[in-house]
Amino acid sequence: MLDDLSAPQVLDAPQTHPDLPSAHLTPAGCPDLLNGRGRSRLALDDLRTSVTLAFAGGSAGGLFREALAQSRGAASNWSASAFASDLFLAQFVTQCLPVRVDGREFAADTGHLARCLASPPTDDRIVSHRRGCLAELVERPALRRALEQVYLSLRQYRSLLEGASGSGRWDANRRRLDLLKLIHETFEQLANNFHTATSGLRRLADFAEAVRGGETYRSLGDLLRYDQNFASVSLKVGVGADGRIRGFELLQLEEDQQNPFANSVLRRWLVKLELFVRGYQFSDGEVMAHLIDGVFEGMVDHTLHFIELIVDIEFYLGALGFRDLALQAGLGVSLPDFSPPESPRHLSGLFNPLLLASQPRVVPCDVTLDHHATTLLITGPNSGGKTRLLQSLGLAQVMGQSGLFIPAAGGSICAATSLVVSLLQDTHADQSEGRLGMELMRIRELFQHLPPGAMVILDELCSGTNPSEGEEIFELVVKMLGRLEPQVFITTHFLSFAERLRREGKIPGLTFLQVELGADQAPTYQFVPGVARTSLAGQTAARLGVTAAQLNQLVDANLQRNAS
Amino acid sequence: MPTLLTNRRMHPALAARIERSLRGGEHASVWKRRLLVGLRFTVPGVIIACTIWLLGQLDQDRAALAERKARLEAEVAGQLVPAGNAGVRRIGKLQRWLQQESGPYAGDVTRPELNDPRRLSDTLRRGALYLRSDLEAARTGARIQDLAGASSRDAFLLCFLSPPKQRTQKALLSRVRTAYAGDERLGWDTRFAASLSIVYRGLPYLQDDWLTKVKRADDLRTVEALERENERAPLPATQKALESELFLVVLDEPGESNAVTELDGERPHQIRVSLIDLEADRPLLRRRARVAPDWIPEATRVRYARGLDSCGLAFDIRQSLGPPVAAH
Repeated sequence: MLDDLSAPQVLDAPQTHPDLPSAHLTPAGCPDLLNGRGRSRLALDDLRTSVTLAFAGGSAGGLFREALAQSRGAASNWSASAFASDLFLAQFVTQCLPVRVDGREFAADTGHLARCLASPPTDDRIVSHRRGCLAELVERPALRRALEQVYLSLRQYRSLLEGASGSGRWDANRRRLDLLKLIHETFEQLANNFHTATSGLRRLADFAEAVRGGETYRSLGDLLRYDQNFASVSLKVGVGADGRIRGFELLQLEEDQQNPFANSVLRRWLVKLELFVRGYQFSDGEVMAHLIDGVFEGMVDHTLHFIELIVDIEFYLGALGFRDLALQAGLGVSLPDFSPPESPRHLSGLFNPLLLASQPRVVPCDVTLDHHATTLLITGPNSGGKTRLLQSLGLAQVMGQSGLFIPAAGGSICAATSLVVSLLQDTHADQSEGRLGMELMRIRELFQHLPPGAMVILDELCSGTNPSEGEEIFELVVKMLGRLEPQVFITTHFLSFAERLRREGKIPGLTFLQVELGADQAPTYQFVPGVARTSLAGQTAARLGVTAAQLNQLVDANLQRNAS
Repeated sequence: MPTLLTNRRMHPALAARIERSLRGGEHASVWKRRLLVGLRFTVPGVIIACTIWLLGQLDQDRAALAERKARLEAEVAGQLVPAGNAGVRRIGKLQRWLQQESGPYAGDVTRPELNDPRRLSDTLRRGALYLRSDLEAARTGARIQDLAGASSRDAFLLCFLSPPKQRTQKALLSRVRTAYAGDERLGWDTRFAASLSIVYRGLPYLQDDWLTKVKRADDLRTVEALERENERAPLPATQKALESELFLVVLDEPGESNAVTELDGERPHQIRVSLIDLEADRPLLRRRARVAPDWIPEATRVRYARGLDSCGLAFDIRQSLGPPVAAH
């Protein structure tokens, strides 16, 4: 992949956003807005036939989705199965990456977006490219607006090409001319609106300019002019005293004889005759159909990139939609700095994006770590926000390494080689072991496959057995993980055990955070160094109505109802 | 393959793609398109060829029709009998004589020349139209054509023109069987007489109306039908019958009451026989005689009662006129 990125296809000097690391750009052949590699992720040879057929007669729909489902993403060391479901990644994409244009939300290809997030690119230049595009889109609303208009045009093109609407209702040539018109408009938008971009967005203009400079595009323009404005007639209309039209006078008739598609009347008739002799219909529509075919054949290779361009734009518009959601909730998002492993990292204003859609108020917090290879033990009361913090950290890592805004007002992260998240502890009917057994099997698998420098997030490790035996396994896991130098986040209710570890200080890199409690002993959803002294289970029980008095009251009411 | 779809103003690459578009369409379903092209030229060609062939056939048919029609017209024109023909004029007298003879019996008549055997023979050789009918039918004014249709050469006519040598049952029965057989012998022995039905069957084909109908025919099917009809018409017999100068009419009066009717319908009754000279417009012979089959043996009477009575009556009338002359 690196070879691809450094291939000598670069015609222009790399255009970079001034505030961000250099984004590697390769122009012309393919816009590749998502990765900036200049290579299509699609199987173009197969796709060309499908698109040509769809152009000719419409398709049953799903052409774009099927092509994208088989697309090749950027290389990634991450395994989606290790974290996607525990982080509710699909739900996150659906709820938190809305694609909105002019206040109207459009259904994006969430499957593609989820795949992108589940596979953060290994190549940091791709991440830089994405970050550069996003930063410029934020800085220059006009560019965002232009990108939205391109997105609308592409959606219309996809809808018309896939036959979702219009096919069968219109004349076939009219539909195909409409498609060509959309193609023309899209290239005009790309070339005219993105030529001033300094980030990877410039690729759009470069791509469009490269196409516009070719014969195929000129032929496309000629054909559209031939269809729409081949001749102009100037009339003089005589109107009588009663306001009625009395007559017409033809002043001037101009035909665009320079148009290469223009032919004399005799030649047009002879063309129809020729087509008839060759087995086609004797009609003007048949003539136009072949002209359209000739033009589209030249354009089809360029239009194939629209298929990935539309989801690439969704990637950026979804990120901008996420930013809009956060801003509406009074929260900040940012493109994080990437710190080396040995440097401290800090996330300020970190929030859980999954709460944006369900909670009226989301409380951000700050998290600071000395360096990457740190094991952070988080303690605190139930419902104090420990698991939400773990989700926030995991999603921030995913989004940051995908080149998107992270759910934090600012900060830095360290690129992890992999991500393993164990938050869910649901019981499945087909599992072979109990809760502890399943957890231990996942831990064993973790040690078997976890690469050095990864990020591990474990919620309430070893909580499925008695505390004394669980603590032994807990300590063993924490010690052994240190050998792989991961960044580990673990929550636990083994408070005495955590306090002992803190007091003994035998495990290097082990740090402690606890849920901050307010004056009323209620959690503030902030985190401070140290180990919590209580889980405040009693308070939680009281809040949820599980005290002795409340339970007695419930039982009395129950018995009375049954007796009556 | 060059195409008129492209022109010099087009970029060569565009022209090449348009040409490929044409070829692509052809390659996509080459046999189907070849078949379509073939049909586009073959079908109109076949239609044109068939039209030309049919028009030629039509011309030939028209020529053939005209030729056949002309031939038929000539044939019909040649067989027409002018309205002023004596035979046709005599036909007009038949109805009047039939009415007269079916009225009150006017008494026996025998012209003297009939008593001369040789003159009788000459008279009968003048040819006679023969009609036998019930008296009541003739009296009630039935059309003579209808009566003629039910009349044919019978035992009376045979025995009148060619009487047996003697009036024995055997001799009479021989004659009757000849009459019943209707074979060539009957035709020969009655060659000087013609059934009146022949006249009315053939006369329509000998008049101007028939030629007019032929001339009006304008299609082959009608002409063929007219040809067939003309061929079936008994023209020679009719033409010969029209030359007859005599009218031999036999009228069966109603049967006697309380009499037994035989299986063939014969019963005792009176029979009128009239021989009219149509040329002179006078009767040559008139007789009224009673017949009764009771003299016939029962075994023979069952089948031949009417024939034997008729033949016996004819023999008796000829006997009254004198001995026949070389009837055979």
